[in-house]
Amino acid sequence: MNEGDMEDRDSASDAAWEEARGRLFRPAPPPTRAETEAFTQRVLARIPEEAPAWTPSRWLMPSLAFSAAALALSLALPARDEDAADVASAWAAAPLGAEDVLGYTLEDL
Amino acid sequence: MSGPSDSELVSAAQEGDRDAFADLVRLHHPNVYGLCLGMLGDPAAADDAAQEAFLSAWKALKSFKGDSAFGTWLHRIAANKCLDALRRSARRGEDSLDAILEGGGSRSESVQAGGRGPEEAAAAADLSAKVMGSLSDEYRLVLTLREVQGLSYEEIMTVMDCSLDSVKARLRRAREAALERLRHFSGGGGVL
Repeated sequence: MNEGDMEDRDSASDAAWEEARGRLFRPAPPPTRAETEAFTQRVLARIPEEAPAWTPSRWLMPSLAFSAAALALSLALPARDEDAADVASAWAAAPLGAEDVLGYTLEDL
Repeated sequence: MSGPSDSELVSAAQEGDRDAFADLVRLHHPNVYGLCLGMLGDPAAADDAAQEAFLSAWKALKSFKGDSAFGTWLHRIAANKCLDALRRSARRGEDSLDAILEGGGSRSESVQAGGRGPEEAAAAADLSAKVMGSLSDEYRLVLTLREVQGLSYEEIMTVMDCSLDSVKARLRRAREAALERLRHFSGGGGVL
């Protein structure tokens, strides 16, 4: 006799309930293996394929490419700044005289 | 030959192993489906509720700490899905078991009437559906867990999240209510 049967004897259930139980609860035949397999496949089909938060195969190459581009840019930019500085210094080296500025201003008028 | 245990499969599934989870579904499908069928009475509704239960289990798998057996934890999820389904159908003004009654019990043969002749089985299933359909959701649940699923009081405590005394009290009241309904639907005859 299992624990459940002992518990039932302690409860208020009696012969009437035992008979009622026989009439009310006849377990349905369990699903067949094929039904269970079909059910399992339906459940799996509804589970989304979840990619981990960080997937190397997905992010590694773009990350490396971006890093390389950033490095190349950082190496290239100082050279362009130098070019720009050269132009600016050339202009600065040949400032307009006050007379020139006055002349241009009068021409505009 | 024995495969990996529940706890081994759960550990693997918690790491995202879908094959391990598939094995858990295969192992527990009969019991979970049986619970849903006992609660809802309709095979299609039971299948839907069982699917929802397993999907919820997959989503919540990380939170499963093993304080109870995986099957008991799964029963709890399935019971909640069934209660949700019953509430939804009640809001829609229908009830799957009541619908069976109105339909003459034709669908209820698969519910709780194994091992009899077709006519006797149909009559028994019809009576069972009438009685179960007339009970509250709570009584239906505790009777299904105990009488159909054969869960222990301790397991029912976990599934219903209540004390042992509460389980005993609910079960006693549910049995009394079922007996009363059975007498009513049987026309008061018999030994009941």
